[in-house]
Amino acid sequence: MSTSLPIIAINVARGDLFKIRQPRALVTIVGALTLFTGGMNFVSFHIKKPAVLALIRIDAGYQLALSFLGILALCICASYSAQEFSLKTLRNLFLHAPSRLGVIFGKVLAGVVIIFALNSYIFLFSLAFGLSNGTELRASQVMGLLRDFSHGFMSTCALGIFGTTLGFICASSVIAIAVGLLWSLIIESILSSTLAHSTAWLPIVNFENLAGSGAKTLSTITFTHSLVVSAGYVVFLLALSILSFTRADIP
Amino acid sequence: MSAIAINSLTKNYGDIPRVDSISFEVPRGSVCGFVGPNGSGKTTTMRMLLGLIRPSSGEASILGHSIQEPGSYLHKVGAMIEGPAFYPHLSAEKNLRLLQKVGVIARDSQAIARSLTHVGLAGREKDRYKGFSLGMKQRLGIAAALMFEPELLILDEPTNGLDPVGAVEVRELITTLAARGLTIFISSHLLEELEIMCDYFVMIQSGKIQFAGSAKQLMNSQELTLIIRPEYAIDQKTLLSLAREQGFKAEILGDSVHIANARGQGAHFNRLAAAAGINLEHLQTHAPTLTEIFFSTKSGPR
Repeated sequence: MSTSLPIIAINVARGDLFKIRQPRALVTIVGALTLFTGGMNFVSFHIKKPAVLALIRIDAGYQLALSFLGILALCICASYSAQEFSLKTLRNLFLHAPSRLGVIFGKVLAGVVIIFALNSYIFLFSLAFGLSNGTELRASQVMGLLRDFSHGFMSTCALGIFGTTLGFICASSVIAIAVGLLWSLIIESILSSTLAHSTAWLPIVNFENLAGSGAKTLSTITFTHSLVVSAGYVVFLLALSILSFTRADIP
Repeated sequence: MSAIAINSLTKNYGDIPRVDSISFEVPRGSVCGFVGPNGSGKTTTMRMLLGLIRPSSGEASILGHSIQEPGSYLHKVGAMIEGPAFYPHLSAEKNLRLLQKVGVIARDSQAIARSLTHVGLAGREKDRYKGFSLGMKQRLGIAAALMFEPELLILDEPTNGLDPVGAVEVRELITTLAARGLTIFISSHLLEELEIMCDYFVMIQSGKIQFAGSAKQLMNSQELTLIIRPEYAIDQKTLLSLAREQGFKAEILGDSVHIANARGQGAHFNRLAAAAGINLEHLQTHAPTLTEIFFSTKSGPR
């Protein structure tokens, strides 16, 4: 009985989702997200104090909170793939789900589901915040909101896959998260400022531009450009994960 | 058909062979002890059999399936390699449930409770893994290996960290499982336990197989030592001379004369001693224990 790749991937994803359902992990993640999203919404609606409240986008807080969710997604996905190495649970996982590709795709699938749930949470939280602070939700805004949501989801997924790849390559949660944060927060900034022409091709810049529907980071980078570059990076990162993991020994 | 069949399996790390062209078979339904010093290649061999690492060359099959396709046989194999590994923040039960979710075997709702009871962890299923003692962790590892009712059990040092009572319990558990027809491939440093449990042995040293065969073959391949003790200690030297005159290697150890490689020579030496006017107080043929074989065979069992 040799089980098909999709079944193994779904089973691995179910295992990961089972792990994250534990109260402590949930409370920590949702708590941090609530705090940050609440803070960003408060900044959008109260600190900035728009002259005309109606001019502010109802999901302004969501747009700001997305950057935090992106970092959080990177850390969660890096940690969830790397911890299998550090806890040596990868061998248990493989003995029960004997397909290296299945394990990788399962991890990615679990990450996508988690990101969808968290993205939905901060989106709905921000909408509720906006509505409770006097903005109106007009029918004409619905399509725009859905677009923002889907772009935010795509951007966060890309960061999650970046984290998963780092987890598989570094095989250590701490190193994977450190490398991820170092690249996202420092190295790209240095590259952007020193090699201006490289900015349009940097992964995090494009992921962020995707989240902002092409208007968040640089007006010179179009949404379509970011979409294509981001997709390229996602394919490259997945290929890197597959290449490194399928050839490596399981510790 | 053998449960495990290995043919010229090799694993190199760089230029250094960790497992060097080993070949052996483990019959179905046997309890096979895999014996060798630390670093001899036991765990590497087991990891290759489970598809965790890829061999550099050679072939092997598990339950008739090539190890190139781990997916075709791993659902029939329970294993614990290099100690148990579970998620510390989850309870014993949740760790096993997670493996059920990940696994491809149809879920049996009673399997978790049954396997925890098997290993003596009933009543501790809600406790978190990180609070477990080393012995309890080992038991949980064995419970996970047993959960899917495998045909073949591969256990790497399952008694590590267990107290003597725990080690005996594991031995009894393995004996019970073997009685059901399960094939068990087990490595352990508790050679006395292996000697009691196993009916088949594979001995490995420096990545090379020194012996592979039944317990009877192993014992038959060993030199039997004849231990004779004269009534009076003064006669020891005479007995020693007699043995050497007969072409045997002999030495005096304590109050006895030990004559090496003297299989079936007991009656002969009894007659020789009587002819020399020596009364024997004690005459015994001694077969080496597995521990003695292990320590005496730097170059492998003879």
